[in-house]
Amino acid sequence: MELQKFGIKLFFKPNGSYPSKDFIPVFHNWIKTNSVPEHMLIDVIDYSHIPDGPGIMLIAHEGHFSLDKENNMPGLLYLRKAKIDGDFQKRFESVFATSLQAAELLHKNKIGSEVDFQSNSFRFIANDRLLAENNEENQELFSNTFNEILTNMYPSGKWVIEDYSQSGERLAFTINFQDDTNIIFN
Amino acid sequence: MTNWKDILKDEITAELSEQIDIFETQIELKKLEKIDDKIFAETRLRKGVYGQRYDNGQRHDGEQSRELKYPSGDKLKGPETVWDAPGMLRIKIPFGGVNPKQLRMLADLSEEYADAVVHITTRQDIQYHFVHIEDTPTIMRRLAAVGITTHEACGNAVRNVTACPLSGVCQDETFDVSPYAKAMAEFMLNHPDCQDFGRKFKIAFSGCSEHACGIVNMHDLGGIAKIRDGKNGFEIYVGGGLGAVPHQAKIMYDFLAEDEILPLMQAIGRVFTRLGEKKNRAKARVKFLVARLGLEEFTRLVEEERQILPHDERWTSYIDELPAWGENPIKKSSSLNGQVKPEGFDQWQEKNVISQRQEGYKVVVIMLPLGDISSHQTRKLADIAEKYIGDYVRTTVEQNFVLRWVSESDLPGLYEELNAIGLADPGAGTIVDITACPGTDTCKLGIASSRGLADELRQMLAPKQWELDEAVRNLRIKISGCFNSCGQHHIADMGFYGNSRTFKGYKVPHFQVVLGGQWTNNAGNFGLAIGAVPSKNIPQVVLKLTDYYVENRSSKEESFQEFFARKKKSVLKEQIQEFTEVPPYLEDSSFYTDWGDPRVFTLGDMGVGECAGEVVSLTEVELQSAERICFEAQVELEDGKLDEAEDKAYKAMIRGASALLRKEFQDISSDPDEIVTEFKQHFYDTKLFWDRFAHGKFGKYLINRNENPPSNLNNDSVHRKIEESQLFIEAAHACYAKMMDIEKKELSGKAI
Ligand code: HEM
Ligand code: SF4
Repeated sequence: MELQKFGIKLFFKPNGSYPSKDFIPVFHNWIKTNSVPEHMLIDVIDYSHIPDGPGIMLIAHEGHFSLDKENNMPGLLYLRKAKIDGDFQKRFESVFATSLQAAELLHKNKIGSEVDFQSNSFRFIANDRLLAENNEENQELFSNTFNEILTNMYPSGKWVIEDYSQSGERLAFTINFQDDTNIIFN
Repeated sequence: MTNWKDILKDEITAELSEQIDIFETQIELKKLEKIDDKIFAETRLRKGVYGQRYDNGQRHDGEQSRELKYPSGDKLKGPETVWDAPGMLRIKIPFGGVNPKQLRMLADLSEEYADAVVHITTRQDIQYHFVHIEDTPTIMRRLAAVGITTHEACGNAVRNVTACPLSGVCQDETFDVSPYAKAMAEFMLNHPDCQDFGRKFKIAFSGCSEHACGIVNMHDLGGIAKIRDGKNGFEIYVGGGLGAVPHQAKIMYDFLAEDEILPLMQAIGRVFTRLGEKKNRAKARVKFLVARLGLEEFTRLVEEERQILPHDERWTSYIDELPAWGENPIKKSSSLNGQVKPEGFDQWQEKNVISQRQEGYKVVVIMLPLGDISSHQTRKLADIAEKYIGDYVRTTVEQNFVLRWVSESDLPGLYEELNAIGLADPGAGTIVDITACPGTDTCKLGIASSRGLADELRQMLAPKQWELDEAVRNLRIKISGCFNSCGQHHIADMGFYGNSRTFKGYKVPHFQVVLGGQWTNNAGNFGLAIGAVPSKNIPQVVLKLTDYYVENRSSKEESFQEFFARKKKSVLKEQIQEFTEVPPYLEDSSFYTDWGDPRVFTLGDMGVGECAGEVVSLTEVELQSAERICFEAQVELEDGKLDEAEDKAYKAMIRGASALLRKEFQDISSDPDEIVTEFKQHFYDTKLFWDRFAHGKFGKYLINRNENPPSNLNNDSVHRKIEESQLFIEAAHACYAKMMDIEKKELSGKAI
């Protein structure tokens, strides 16, 4: 599995306040304080005027972070751009770890805005139509891979993989844990 | 197969494929340092691969300028342009025409290689931002597979050929100009006679002369559809262009038959290649060649060249196919009678739906805030287009999409589907439909945030658009982040362009207010600046000027433009005077940041103002008075006093120069010649006055004027002199800010 370009979206809790322009200074501050390890943070872009779009974005050389609003499912999306060495499990773990770090930073923001994440679900988004075309074969392949990876990561966890993206969209699906597994920081 | 090149090899024309292969090789050669930086930069620009802000590897974080340490280290993709730094890719969309298949590809690529946003430009193009140079050949291949090229989207080449987005369906047009625009775009693409231009060349077509959709007047070459003796042809315009000093195009032919337009462009291409300025970019657009030679001589040379051009079948082959040109709607025409209208439909329909000349069909305008649409929306839009209209989507110079050939009874259903994905904002073509260049978001030359301001104005005006006076509602606002006018601020009812002013050592983002530009009559008139206002006060300026108009117009029939043409510039300036004040930093620091950007505008200057106290304010006062004199020049021009106006424009520059000299020397002469000599010696020759990108251009305005006082003044030439004077003063402000920076550095050096 050669896929390098993929992302993780962590959903905001529906009752949390919705991050918007208020978070522009938060991202600028991350840049100033080099807050995301192993990332060269470049700039912040405000796309909050697009109703069904990426919201506020933090651009880094290694990948983009955004307060994504797509499909009315707001969340923090981290899309990896730069290569990571190792097998797919290693790459996934690395991207997942970065997403969690960013989520924690966002949660602990200093502007007093409440951002809470759903602790039992995340969405995987493949961002490369060459290496991960959105077809049934790949949906199965990637689902199986995720079942293996998650078994290693959460040996006693129970999850379902659902909400596959529509054809034409990037290959994507959501992993919903069915038990009290908490994937987010506490 | 594991690469797009192999997968797509049968879907790309041999010519495009070869061009992309060559570019890919050049990328490889550059990685091996076998191509000079400058040459590689022009090579990539020609392929639409542009630089982006911070690609010099430096960014100010609000407190200090910091190095962005890209993994590629010192490797460059052009002078001062770091290899790994994200860049922009411009994608050519001739006459704005896109189909659903292309929309899907545009959506996919924006996700995989950019930031998941498809941006529509002010010349019907599409742009991606934050693209890595090494991804560009693949993007180009995937675009080529759906019939799109980025070739010559930037660089010194024939740029995108634009046309009214309603051509073919417009009630007012003489005939459909789309096939001509398409033929011109295809003929000029990579044409050997247009490969050695000193500057870019822009072409536009319009179906009528009254409306603005084609904005022919501001193009290097433009054609307005005309029929003579039953034959299609064009009124031909040449030598127009926006930019720092805008030029109205001149009529080259009042009628040129259709079969002559391609050879005309080819002949112009040859003359422009041979005689156009190559060294001085600031004087290299064809408008300068036309001005230098005179229209008559330019035309004579072009005609001479035309006579000796070897015949080319393509000049006319497309004309034989014209009868077959036409669009085939996928739905039967119908009427809206009796349809249930969803909530919000009427308000949307009022401005976003336009009747076609074909009965029972409508054009639907999708108003995009800041010209942006997400990949997700773009893909859904492709589905909607396929369902309702088929292939006939177009981009517009107002940074919107239009859907043509909507059967009238489909409107409610279409509205609901657009609304579900946030694409049914009402108010297209009105004061809420604001145009903005990329500005400080991504443009290297941006001074102030044009997009931030546009967003702010849109949010302020959208909720109350129905309460506005109808004439006010129909106004256009256009915003550029600097004087280069990519946002076309010269041709808006209310235009703004970004600049900065220094107050007590702090820099404050400002916008020049430009009034009197004309959007109708194919951009029939350019506006003039009436004063710089802090960016944060611009929303109030918009409200003030529109209220002032409504309260003081002679009658409901008097248009905004007529009103401002009638009013004295000095009276207008008074209206905005109260908004030019900047509160002290400690009282309201928000003025010292830009819209949507919490970083304080160059914090590094703060200490300096306090140290340099009075001296600073003296220079500032003098720079202000230079602005005042320049403004007076406009007033003189308005009164038809050409000599006085020109003289004031010159005096304003002299005052600006003496302001700078005063910063450096106690005693300065009041003799203009001596001021210019001193200015040349201390500011121009030392390059202190130089702009990073425009170099010595602005300083030259003063030096040239001093050496060669102009004769034979006319309205146009004086208008230009005033623009030049204004730019000189802008540059003086910038130079002053630079001096303060240097002083600050020296002081902090001493402290250590
Ligand atoms: C000296 C430098 C530049 C000058 C004089 C200049 C001037 C212009 C002008 C006059 C226009 C539009 C109006 C027309 O069609 O004539 C334009 C278009 C545009 N410019 Fe610039 N520009 C410059 C650099 C840039 C840069 C650095 C950017 C930022 C990336 C930029 C972004 C744009 C965009 C997005 C458009 C609409 C484009 C299209 O589709 O062709 N420009 N430019
Ligand atoms: S007007 Fe200035 S800021 Fe705006 S895109 Fe053009 S060069 Fe950049």
